[in-house]
Amino acid sequence: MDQPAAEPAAPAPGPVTPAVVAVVVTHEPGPWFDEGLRALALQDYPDLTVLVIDAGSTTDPTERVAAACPTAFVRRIETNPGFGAAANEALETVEGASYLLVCHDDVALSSGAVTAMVDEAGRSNAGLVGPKVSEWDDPRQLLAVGMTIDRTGHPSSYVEAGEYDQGQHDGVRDVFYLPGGCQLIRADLFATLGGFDPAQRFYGEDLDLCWRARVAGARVIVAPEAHARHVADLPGRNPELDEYRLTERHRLRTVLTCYGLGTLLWLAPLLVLLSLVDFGAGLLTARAGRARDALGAWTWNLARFSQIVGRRRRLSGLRRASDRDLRALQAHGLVRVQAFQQRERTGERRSAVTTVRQGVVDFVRSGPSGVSTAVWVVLGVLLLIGSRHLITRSIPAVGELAPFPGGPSVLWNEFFSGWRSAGLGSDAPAPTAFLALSAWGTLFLTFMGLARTVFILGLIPLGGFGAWRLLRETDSVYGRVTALVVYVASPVAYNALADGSLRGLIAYAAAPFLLGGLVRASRLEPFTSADGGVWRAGLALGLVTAIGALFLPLLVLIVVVMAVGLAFGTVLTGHAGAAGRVVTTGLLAAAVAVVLQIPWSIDFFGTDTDWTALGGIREGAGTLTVPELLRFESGPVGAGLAGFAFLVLAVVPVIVGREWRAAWAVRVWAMALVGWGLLWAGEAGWSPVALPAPEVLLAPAAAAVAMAAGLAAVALERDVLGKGFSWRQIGLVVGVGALIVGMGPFLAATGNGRWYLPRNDFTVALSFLNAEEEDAPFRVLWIGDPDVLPLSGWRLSEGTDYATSDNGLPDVTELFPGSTTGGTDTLAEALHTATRRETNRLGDLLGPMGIRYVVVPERLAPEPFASEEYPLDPAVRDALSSQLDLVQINVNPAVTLYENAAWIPTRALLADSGAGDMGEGPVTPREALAAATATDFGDSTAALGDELGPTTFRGPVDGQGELYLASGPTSGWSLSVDGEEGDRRTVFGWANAFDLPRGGTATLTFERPITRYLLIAVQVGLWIFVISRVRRPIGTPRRQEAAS
Amino acid sequence: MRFSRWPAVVIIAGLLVGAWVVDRDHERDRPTSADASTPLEAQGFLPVSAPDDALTSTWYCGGGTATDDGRADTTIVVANATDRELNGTLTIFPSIPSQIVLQADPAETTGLSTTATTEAPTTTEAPIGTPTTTSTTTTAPPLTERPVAVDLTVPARDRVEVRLADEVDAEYAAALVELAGGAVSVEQRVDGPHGADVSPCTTQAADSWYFADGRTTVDAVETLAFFNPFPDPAVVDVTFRTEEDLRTPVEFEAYAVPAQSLVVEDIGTLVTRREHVSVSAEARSGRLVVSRLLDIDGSEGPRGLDIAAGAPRPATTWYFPDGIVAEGLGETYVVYNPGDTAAEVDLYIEPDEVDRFGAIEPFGLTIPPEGFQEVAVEDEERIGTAISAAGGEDPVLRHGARVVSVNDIPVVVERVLEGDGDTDRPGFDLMFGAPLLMEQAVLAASSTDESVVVANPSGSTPVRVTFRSLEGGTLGESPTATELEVPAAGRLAVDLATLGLGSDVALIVEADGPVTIERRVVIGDPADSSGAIAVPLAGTVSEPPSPFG
Repeated sequence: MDQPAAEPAAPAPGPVTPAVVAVVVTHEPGPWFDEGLRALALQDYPDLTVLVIDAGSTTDPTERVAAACPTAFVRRIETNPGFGAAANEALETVEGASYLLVCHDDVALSSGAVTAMVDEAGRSNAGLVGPKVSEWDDPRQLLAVGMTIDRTGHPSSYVEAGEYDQGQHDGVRDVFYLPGGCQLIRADLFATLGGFDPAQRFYGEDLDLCWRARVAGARVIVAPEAHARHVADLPGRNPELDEYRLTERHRLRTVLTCYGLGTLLWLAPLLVLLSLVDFGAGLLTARAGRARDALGAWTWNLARFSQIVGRRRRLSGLRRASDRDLRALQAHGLVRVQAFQQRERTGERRSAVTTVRQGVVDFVRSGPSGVSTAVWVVLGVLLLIGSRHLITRSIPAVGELAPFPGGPSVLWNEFFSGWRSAGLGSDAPAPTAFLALSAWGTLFLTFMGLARTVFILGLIPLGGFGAWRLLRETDSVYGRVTALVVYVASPVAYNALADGSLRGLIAYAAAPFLLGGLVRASRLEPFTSADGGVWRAGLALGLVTAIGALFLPLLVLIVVVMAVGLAFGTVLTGHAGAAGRVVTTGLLAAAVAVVLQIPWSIDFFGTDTDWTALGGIREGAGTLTVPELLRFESGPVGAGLAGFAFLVLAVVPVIVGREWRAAWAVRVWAMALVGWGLLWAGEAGWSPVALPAPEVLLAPAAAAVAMAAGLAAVALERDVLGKGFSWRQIGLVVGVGALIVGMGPFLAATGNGRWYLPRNDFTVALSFLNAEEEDAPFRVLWIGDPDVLPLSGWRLSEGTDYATSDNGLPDVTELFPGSTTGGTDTLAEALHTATRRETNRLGDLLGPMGIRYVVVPERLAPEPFASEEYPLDPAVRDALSSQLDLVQINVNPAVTLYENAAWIPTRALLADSGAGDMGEGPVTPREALAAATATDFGDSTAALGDELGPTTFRGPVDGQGELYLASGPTSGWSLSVDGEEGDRRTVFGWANAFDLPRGGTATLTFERPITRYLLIAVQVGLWIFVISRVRRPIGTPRRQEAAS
Repeated sequence: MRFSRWPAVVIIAGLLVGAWVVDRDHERDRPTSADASTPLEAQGFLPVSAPDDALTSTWYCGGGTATDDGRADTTIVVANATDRELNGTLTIFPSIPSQIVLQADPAETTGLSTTATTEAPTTTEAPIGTPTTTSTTTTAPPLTERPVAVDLTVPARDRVEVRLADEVDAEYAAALVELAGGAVSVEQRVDGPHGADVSPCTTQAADSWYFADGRTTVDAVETLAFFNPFPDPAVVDVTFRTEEDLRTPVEFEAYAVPAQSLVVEDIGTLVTRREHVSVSAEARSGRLVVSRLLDIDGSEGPRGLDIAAGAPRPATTWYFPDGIVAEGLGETYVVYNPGDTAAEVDLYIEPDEVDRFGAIEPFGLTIPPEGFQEVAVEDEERIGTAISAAGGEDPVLRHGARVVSVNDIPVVVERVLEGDGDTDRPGFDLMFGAPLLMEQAVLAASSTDESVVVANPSGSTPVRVTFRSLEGGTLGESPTATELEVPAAGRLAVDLATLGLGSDVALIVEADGPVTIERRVVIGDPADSSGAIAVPLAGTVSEPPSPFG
């Protein structure tokens, strides 16, 4: 042991007592240090020695120790190894002690604390004993009386935030662990356990030690007679420490170490899932650090897997208590929410108030009676019940609910390849959604089916969450939960699901967030607290829009429509200036969203932009009537007159509300009217432009109605209740009644268990398409109503789109618009030629494009799983059935399938050279078709069947003839045969042919241009810039606080 | 800032109520028929030549016989109206054996009834007395009956003829003509011991075919040719309306026509001894071409040979540019209603010399569902009255005719002409009218004894018509064939011999307004008259004007 700081006082005579060494670990101690030492010096325990371990402080604390506790010893360590490792110094430097009292340097014990703890340790035969801990500055305010954890290792305190000590915890109790600060531990136990885990430098070492002690059979108790005050401001003292990251890492390390193998087997998937939720929440809130840390905890521990194995091995030799034994000391359920509260109370930095996590904190703390919690729980249960068959089985791949690819790497490769296979293929950037979905799939450990289910069904509660946040500034729990209930119970999401409209679901999830952004941009009461001006509001809203536009590009227009609608309402209420801010914000958001989609948006908004390529765009009249629109009854979910109930509720604030309640109700009603009106014009056939699926436009209207309904609750709460009897009381009755009645259709729909989605899809019926790929690469041409096509295509005629998929059934990648360049117009011309009855050999025209099958779905799912028909344009149907080289294959009445008797593989060896050579000049589609039909493909054979990637193919060639590639012409394609390059030329104006320089192994690759990478870098930079600009003002007040 | 909610409430409520009211009266059914999006010429009313710049042209010829001694020796006539040579293929489909094998069941031996069975084509006969069974086949035809492809080259502005018997030897044969271009007209001519006929092939296969008239009397043999050039089998239900009953023989229920085959059935074996037979052939699946060959030996009246593809769809208006009521001629209009709603039809006989014959009141007909009506013009009292009023010696009433469904129930109309040998319309002829109007048409087949009738349905605007010939690569013109006027609501009948374009040449007819064009030729030995509506060029067809203005 080192030298004492001063001469020790003579020990007081008395009975023999266990020797206790107080180990105080310090690093750059604050002013509280001296008081803590003095408290130790004043302890009445007769055999207490104080050892101060200084972990690399720049200033030697010896003098301060001597002054405050003259008998204390000081041991200095050159560097700061972390609290646990520093405390472990006691293992080597302390001998003969029965107990170690491990203390932080910011703890002050009450005078008899050590005695009380030692007495209790002996009385209870405890391995660890801790005091009752309270705030340093306010001893009446409790910090902890021991702690527990849930099964996942998340800590939970026995005391509430801000709870005052009124003697309610003054009984000795077994606890799961003692929070760091002050722990009395039997020295032999400490040595047996090997002390603290040195890898856990800060945060979590206390749980780890206690848990291992518990596993070793030791009791961990709190002796409330002992009292300690604790500063507990490690984040303030060491701001460079990332508390969240360290806590997550160490928690996981402890869990993986301390649980038995049997428990870990079932617990590990849950831990993974929770990490994924954290990751998703981090992404959704643009907090990349949190998202990274959620997964980083796993990578950190997996990198130290051998350490964990070793620790488990050592612990297994000590194990006296099973997991089942310890379970009684653990909290029930998941206590993460309480953990958030705890952090909040202990001064965690609130770096992003607009995060999902903070929303959850708000959510829990929001109601004096837990109304929010109750409503969320009930809605969650109802959603689970209503989705039970989709969860337990699978979501059928109907309409836009396309399956995800086999793994994230497919999406990743497609994103970076610079090649789009849509249509006849083109040299075009892929949508950013590929990257997002790849990351999403990675989150789910490549379980793409699970990723798809969570993605689709998760959009509903996400939309609800957005609605719940709408009225945050009103401080009305009832207003917020009413908006939540009305939005979740609105039929929009369920009809979108039933219709297989993923875009409708995306719009549903995004609409409340967009509305919220626009509302706050107005800066009208009560939404006056937004930071920054229009520029920042536009950036923030643009970020949200951009995220939604990853999957629904039309959102950039939707947000403008919403802004115009809201501005219209704002003008109605006499705030022209605010209306201008709203419109400006909406336009700015749209622009930001477009810019953030670079480089895809550059390609799409080219000279020949085809809006229909966005997918799901419909021309011509629909069938929805005004009453159906007002009831949001675009599908099977709805219930006649009951569907108007929410509208009645939404009218209440207009009638009975005062001041801003009525004004905002008028504004959002105006916005809803714009949405309805636009859709109505489309349904009636009056819209001059094509419109998206009904749910895409109904979602903003539904969000507006939900906000108006929430305002109804606010108005009733503030303007009616407690104001004496008046005619406004009628509004209360009407409002409550309407809310109850309006829930009816939603509740009825939950009984279905699958939201009326068909029970099956075409996967089985058309599975043979995928199997055909083994023969030769080919394309499938899909023709049909855009509402029923499982992929995005281009307009063929009113109500009929066409699209292609490669080698079988499409997946989610084909949901995104393809480039309008390439040979797509030639494909369209072939179909138009057939429709005009100018050919009865359509197969001859499609064959050179590699189109082997033509699929015409006319229902969402095969018979008998779907009954609603989406009939093909009869002219197109007649044209197809009149072809002499299309062989109809009977699969199911819901789909018409033709096999092209004249198809050739998309990569084929042609016997003759020079086929289809039309030079490099522009070629009209008509000329291209004529040239193709004049070419003899009779002896063509499939080639380069070894697919090494989306744009790399390999296979043997004999050097005769030429290689034909039925994909968009670009010099990016190159062919080499055993290292010797073959010359490429454009054929038919839209395809490629290569001279074969020799026989051997040929490799066909698409060379990505450097500009592709540069544009991706630009895109990443843009996202970082926007995110940083959005987040920066949040941090500003924090810096100001710090400065003050 | 305070605001008054009531103006906003009024505006919002007004918008909602207004939309509701407007929406209630707004019809917006989605189109369910092809007509809304299909060009008129592609809707199947009649054969229409593909446009000049079409990638390909396809023609289906139901055909007659293809043997040296056949009763309807078939020749395909292809005219090319373009200024470039067209290459293509003529694929001949020899007929496969009948899908129907008649057999007598025990009851038949007592003379009580007749039954039949369908079997595979390789089965030629079933044993007498075996139980009645029905089976269909969708197998491909035997190798010996595989289609035969013949390269076809049609010089610019010229025509070629291909006699099927020169290429194959088959009891019956159909032809599929595919050419790499448009502005082509293809017709089929049949010659037999009882007469001859020429009619356009059809440009579309369809899932329904209708014939208003036909007969299975003792002097007549009526066969239906089911031509399926597609790679999928077709399954058809065939219904016969006779003067006595409506019948769908079990043999023609789900009647299977194998892929890429021709099957010819003599309907007299199942619909025996009927003076009137209307036919509906409606496919359950697939598409096909159904054509009728009617051979009348003259033992009971005029003899003749007639071949025609059916009407793929009924229509509400039918024009017959040529008509005549004269001694020795019988002219009958047969209106068949294949639908399930009674059709109210007016038949207009429109004389050339209205001043002389007076306006003839239209014949009002009620055609029951799946029924027919016949109007023998010369037997009608009001026609007799008109002729009597005209006076003169042996007056001839030359006229056009028009059949209009006044309640918009579409019907199928054919005209029957029966003439003695000493008239200018000898023999027997059946002809569908024109359901559409046209401005340009091609007449591929021809005869030295040919006349063309152009009718102008416009009641107010005269139309000028120019005839040109297609022969030897040139577009023949003649002052006597140029800018000929067709008076409003009148007709122009010209003999080919008087046009100065040469004899027996293919013709292009161009009008500066919508007209209907009928060609009448007398061909064969014995002489047999044959009428046909000209084949219009795509882009020049139009719908008839509303009969109600």
